[in-house]
Amino acid sequence: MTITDHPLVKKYLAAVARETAGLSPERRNELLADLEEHIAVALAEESASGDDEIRAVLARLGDPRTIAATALGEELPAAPASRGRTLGPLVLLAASGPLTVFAPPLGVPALIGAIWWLWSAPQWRNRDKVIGTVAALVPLLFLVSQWVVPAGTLNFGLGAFLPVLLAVPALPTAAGVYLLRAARRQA
Amino acid sequence: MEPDIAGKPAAGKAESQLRKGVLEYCVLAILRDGPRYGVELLETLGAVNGMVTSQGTIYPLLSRLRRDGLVETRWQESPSGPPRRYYELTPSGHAALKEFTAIWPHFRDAVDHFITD
Repeated sequence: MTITDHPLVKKYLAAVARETAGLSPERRNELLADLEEHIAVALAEESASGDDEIRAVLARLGDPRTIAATALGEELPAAPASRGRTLGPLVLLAASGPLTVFAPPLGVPALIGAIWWLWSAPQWRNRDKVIGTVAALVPLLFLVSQWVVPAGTLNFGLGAFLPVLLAVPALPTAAGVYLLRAARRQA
Repeated sequence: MEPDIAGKPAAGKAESQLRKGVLEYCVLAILRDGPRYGVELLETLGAVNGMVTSQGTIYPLLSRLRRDGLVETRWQESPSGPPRRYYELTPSGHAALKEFTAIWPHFRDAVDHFITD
């Protein structure tokens, strides 16, 4: 077992990982590797491995929130350049709604593409990505339910069916607007 | 996680703003004398009171300096403990430091001019 497998160290690095969820995976992994190396080197130089010595090294490194705030601050200048990368997945997400309901052969690839693009983008927190994914899947579920459920049991009547037919494809667009705001908030 | 040591709200806003502006040039200045690894760099910075309150914040800064092409990194084995990531000034790093070194005395004098009576 190396020193960085010590529960105190793991707990500390996990806290940094949690607080840096808004960072791109590349930056986040680099930061975690740097901190891990720092801890290992600092302890090796003091020939220390006791709990108190580990605590002292971690205390000098500082509060994970302070480190995360610095890391997020350093990432700021790059954010405005990624406007296309914000709009791209959202436009595809919005288009996937009507396409999935009215033209499934086009809609399903668009849907998969939008979800994949969304998850590979660094500017959203996982919670926002989940919201986007759920919104993207609703039209597909709606389509499948039309198929699977026998016509008689899902009888809205035309008066209720039309609003649903309009609302379902619009849902991914609504999620897109929400995500656009979320991305601006992060920046 | 010992926020009393780490967070140091007592350090004051003015001090933290100032540090934010000049810390990277202090890092570049330390590297002028040759490559250093993180812990070593922090020991040098820590020898002067008030320069670093939370050691971990130096790593996002070093990462940016590397992305901006002011420093380069390379790994080197060590006789004791894990390999170290060494930071080294690039020609642009030297140039940035030279520029700052030229500006700083004027800046310091200008501030002194206003705050001393």
